[in-house]
Amino acid sequence: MYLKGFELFVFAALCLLVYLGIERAKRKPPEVRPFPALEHIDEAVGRAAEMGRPVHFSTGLGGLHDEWAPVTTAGLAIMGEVAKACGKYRVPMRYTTVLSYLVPIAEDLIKFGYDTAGHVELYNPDMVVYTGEEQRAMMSAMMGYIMREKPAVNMLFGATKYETINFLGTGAIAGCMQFGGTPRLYYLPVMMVTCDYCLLGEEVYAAGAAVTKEPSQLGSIKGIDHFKIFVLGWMIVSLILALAGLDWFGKLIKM
Amino acid sequence: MALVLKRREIPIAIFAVVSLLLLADYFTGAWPDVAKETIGWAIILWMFSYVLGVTSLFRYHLTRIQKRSQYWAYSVVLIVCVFVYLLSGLLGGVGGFSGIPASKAFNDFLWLNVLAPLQTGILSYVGFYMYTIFFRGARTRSWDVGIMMIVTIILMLNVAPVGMALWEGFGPLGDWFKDVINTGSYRGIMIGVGVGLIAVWVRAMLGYERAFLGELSRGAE
Repeated sequence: MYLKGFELFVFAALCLLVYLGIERAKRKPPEVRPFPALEHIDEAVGRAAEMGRPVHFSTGLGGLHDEWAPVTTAGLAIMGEVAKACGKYRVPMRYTTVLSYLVPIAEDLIKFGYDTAGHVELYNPDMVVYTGEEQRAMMSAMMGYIMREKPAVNMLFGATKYETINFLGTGAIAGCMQFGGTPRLYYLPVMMVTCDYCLLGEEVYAAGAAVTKEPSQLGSIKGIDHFKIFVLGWMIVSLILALAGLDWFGKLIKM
Repeated sequence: MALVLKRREIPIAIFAVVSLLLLADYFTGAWPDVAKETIGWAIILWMFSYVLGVTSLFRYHLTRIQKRSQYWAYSVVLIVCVFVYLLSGLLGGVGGFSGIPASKAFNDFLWLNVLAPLQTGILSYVGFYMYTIFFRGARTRSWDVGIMMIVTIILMLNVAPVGMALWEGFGPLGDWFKDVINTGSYRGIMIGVGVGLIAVWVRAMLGYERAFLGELSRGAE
């Protein structure tokens, strides 16, 4: 047995700040930074309605079974809101996945979104397409779909891997309005150059809450921001003390 | 009983117990066997969900064939391929039960001469796209992306022999971008990612984040 003391302290501090942020938000709704990618979802789906073309969404290769589960959860939360917008504008949507267990979850989310918008009759189980547990099958399925159907909007939010390049590259060639977001660093540049709007790094996690516009959810983003200020303060103090020859503060991290 | 099992508190409680157990093991190393076993269960459950995926796949493609939708012939190709490969695997794949040498040869043929080249072909797109994406799909719509593209060109000239031949300064300049700017921003983003990840976990524990249950996330109820 061992104890990762410092990590536990940081983890507990962050959980506490997020919790306090949520509790405070119930009393007074916070103002959080805007996420352009989320603010333009409605406009993008409206564009799809005008063009008479579908909206395509994917959470990429990441799932709920690994360390990327939280980002997939955030991606699914965004998809729920996209489904709601699609219901509002009566636009068909399609979700492509490589993971079998995401099929019923996505079906429920899309149905729920159309239902919330008052158009559950537009929902069709075929809106969720399972391509088999194989990344290259997913890549070819998505590339083929985009070139054949030319969706007006193409979205990729999640723990994406190298399918990002083909997926967004094809979407850019097909002239889709593109939205993307991933915390995976390798694919951030690809998203930056191929997407009209993208969420970078931890913005994807925050977006899962921001998209709901619920005060309690927004409170968690405030908690994250407060923690970042705490981390920044810790780094500055450590730096000053280290420059002064006192490195015991920095050594706390090794506890 | 069925109504009790349908309550959303049940999956949230399972999520809470399992994640707390795994976290406790991570921080203390107290229950490594239990943690390993729990992760094993998750994988087994995932395998069971293949049935759902395959059902969805067949429903989608059979509907397309039935309605003679556009490109329905591709759906026929897919279903035929699934059954041919399944049969070939059952008869001559690893642990295949036929024992006929020809069935193993056929399975190997499908694997080596059909599937592997197709997979390699799709993979080759990645390299092709990576090198041509700037010309084909890049959208330089903001200063941020413009700066990133300039830095990309400098870094390409840093690693390509022609860059150093053109100007020796591409060497130290590219290295500075990689060692200082890139490493610093990488670490900053990683801290942000870790923070965001834990925030999602807290929201899920409190029942606000329910997208993983197939529900739209809501506020306090």
